[in-house]
Amino acid sequence: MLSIRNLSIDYQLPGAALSVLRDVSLDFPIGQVTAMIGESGSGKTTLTGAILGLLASNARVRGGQLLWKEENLLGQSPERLRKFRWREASVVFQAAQGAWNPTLTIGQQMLDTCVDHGFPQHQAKREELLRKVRLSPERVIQSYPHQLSGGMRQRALIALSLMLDPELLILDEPTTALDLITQSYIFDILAEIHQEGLTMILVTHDLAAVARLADRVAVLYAGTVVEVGTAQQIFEQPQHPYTQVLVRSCPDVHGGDVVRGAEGLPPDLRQRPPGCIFASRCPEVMEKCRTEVPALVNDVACWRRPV
Amino acid sequence: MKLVELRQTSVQLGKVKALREINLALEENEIVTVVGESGCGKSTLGRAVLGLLKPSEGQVFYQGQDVFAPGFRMSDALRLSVQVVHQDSYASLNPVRTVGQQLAAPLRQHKLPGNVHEILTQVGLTPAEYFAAKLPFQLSGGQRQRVSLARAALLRPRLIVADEPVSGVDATLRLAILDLIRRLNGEGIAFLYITHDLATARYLGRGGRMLVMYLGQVIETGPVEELLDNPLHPYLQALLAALPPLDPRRAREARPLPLRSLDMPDATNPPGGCSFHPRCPYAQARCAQESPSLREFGGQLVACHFTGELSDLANPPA
Repeated sequence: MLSIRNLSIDYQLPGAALSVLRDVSLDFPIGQVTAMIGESGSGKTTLTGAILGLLASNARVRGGQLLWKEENLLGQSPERLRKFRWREASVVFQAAQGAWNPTLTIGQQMLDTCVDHGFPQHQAKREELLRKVRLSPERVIQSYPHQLSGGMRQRALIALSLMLDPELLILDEPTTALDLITQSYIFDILAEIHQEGLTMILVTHDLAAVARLADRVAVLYAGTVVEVGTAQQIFEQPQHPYTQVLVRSCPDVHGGDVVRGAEGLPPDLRQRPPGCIFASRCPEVMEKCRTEVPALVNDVACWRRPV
Repeated sequence: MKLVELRQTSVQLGKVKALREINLALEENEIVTVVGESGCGKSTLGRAVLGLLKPSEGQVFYQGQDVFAPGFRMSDALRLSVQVVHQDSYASLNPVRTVGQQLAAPLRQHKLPGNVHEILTQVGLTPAEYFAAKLPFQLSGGQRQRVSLARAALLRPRLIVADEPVSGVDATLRLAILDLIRRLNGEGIAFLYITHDLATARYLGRGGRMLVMYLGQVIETGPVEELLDNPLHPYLQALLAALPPLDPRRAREARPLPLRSLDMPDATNPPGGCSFHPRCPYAQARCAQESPSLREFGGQLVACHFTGELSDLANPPA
């Protein structure tokens, strides 16, 4: 349904261009939850912005396509993108970021969303969705955002994202900064919504969220997809050296073994290194890795794979 | 010797009693972890240990001296013996001073010996000359957190309070910071590690003690491994159940949380009796009446009337 083809994006900075996405190709199959995981600077936020047509003003698309049912969304008119957003694809942002208008009630903002997109004010739907995310409509509709807890606001945001029956739901760090118990509850709600067949993109650095929700996983490192696979593959048999570090350097609450993280830092994206993007930190680096970029072959971009 | 001791310490913040009758003694060279969810009082506990909050009841002792006793004036040496590392490394460093300048400032201020380049090398920021000349915005989150640790360790404290020091650091760099804390601990600095993350608590706090907080109170405490492998308080049991395993197959198995209610009660008006009873799946009449104190059970201290008898109670979780 959504397919990204060889997408490259730069941010124009004074005196330099920051190459945040380089030649990214990814498919998001219908009815599945595809997770994009990566750390800060991996390009996951830029990718989300590109899909929604909400890139920063200094972003330059250097090449590639964003195919939504065979229509290239890149370069579409603002009117077309406005229709795409919320009606076709909606987004749940991170709870800590102020996604709600503090001066209007939750109920009002849900109806405004309908009106803004040319729909009738659908009151029954509003209540149904609030119940779906296990909130009491009587209480929440009349509440201002500050009157709700962080977890309740986030659940209301999920309800808002579903107001116009989107075909694609983007979850941008949906549980970051929430308490464990609240997170667990939100995972349950999202899993339920997913079972009804909604296609989802889960953008996160939280492996627990990935394990709980994702069918497929794309691993991003410094603006490059280094590995894709099913969630099971990524957790059980990660192939790329970066994925291995990412998955195994996470301490385990039950005291399981951990692997030391990779030394060093992600590369300076003002000057991409000529070879593999992970070469400077890779424990298995060899000569070729420093000079030639490995393509994504059999779901992994690494000169060392298959072993 | 007890570096810092809280005795029956309560702290009132506005309408909220953020700490309720806390007893905690921090010994030399240990790592104590404090875990709990937002609003449980764990950061307030850290600030009380730092001597920044005057208790509404109870006392705070630094090396045996009651620091809020009338007429007591804390010496510089005593004050400097306890340092802090905050979560937000960017906000806690001066944005317009180089790393070298801001590390040197406290040494100059207190006329203490110490070598900025040596401490930078010690926290892994090499070459030290290179990092000393940097401004905070030129460093990554992990590097800035190393600077914060260097700044705290430079004054040769006996104890560092580290409040969520790795929450803002990328996963692949997190372990290295935790290992650095272990190394500083090996050089004689005790740590109070405050976090919401049970997994890093186990990693950093291994072999040490852990405190679990809920609505301003310690509800369970004991060796880290014991607590996480054999949680006795129903709240700690619920927290551990809420953590999805890092295995897609197991993470998807339906497992209702052992809780009666999801929502945290209003902290300005905490429930009477045991503060957890409205959410507790095992709650009995007694729990609404009587507040449980910490009682010993095995190697743990647990604030629950029914420790060890939970499985026999009438309304176990579904």
